[in-house]
Amino acid sequence: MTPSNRTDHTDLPEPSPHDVAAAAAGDRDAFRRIVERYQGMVYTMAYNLLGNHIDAEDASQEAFLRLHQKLSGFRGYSTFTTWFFRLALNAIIDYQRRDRKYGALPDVPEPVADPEADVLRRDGYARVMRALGDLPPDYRLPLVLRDLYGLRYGEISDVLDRPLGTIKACVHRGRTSLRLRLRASGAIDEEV
Amino acid sequence: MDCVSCREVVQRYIDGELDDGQVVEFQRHLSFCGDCAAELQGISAARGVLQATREVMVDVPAGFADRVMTALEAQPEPSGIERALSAATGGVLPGRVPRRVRHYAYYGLAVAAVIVGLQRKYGHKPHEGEAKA
Repeated sequence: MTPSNRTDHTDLPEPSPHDVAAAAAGDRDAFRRIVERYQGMVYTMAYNLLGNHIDAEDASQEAFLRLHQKLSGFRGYSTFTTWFFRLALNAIIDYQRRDRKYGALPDVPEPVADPEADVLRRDGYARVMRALGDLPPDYRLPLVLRDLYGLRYGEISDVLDRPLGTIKACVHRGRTSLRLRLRASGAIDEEV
Repeated sequence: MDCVSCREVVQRYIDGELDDGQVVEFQRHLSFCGDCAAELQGISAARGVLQATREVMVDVPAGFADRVMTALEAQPEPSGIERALSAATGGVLPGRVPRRVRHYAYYGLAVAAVIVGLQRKYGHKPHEGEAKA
């Protein structure tokens, strides 16, 4: 059997327990350090899910405001990164649902200036984002959550509050649609 | 297994949801059906390209952390009851709607793009006479 791809997003270094405790107690400097540590993860997730910078910024802000609100509830049962990843994801989905941002047109992404990043990599990312933006709205979020962030179908069903069978169907159709769009854009080369 | 049922199984195969017997049956079908093999290869390739973007971190707009902290300052301080409620419920403060601080540069860019587009579509075009002059 092929393994399912699950990512725990634990590759970010954890904040110091002191910073977490201090931020929960109201220390703004400690909270800012947490914001600076996680802003890349949260903003990228928001951009990948929402597809444009305006919504990504608004949703990311909401994620951090919610973090501040809920920080005192962090009990350390999982790593801080795993806990915050789920909290941020819920904040972004809530933002999308509340502001009805489903399917907003994507703008051209600007991947971070990474010395190892080359033109091909950036072009590839831009093509994928455009292809995702072209997908029917109901397919994009489940597909990104499943195949980019590795959530299980049951988790996606919970997060998006939609039936499991619907989520599976959306992911399956989303994959097929994404394949066609990536092939048309030349991002994947298939021998037909 | 025929092609219709194979197309349904492809996705479950990708998700690792087939048992060993189903995998054998699926792979046997692929061994003589080029169309279904191409379907699997194409979807797997698209999935691989999507997963490769995991490595990409999008540039965070300049001043983002500042705006978060500004928005935080604008939040009303929770009352003692709310703090106690927050600690008891795992940090949930009901009824609080966060206020965001907008990064207006994006709106400026969006407006500029619309203006340029309108100018291109409806803008002044010189008449032949003007062009010659």
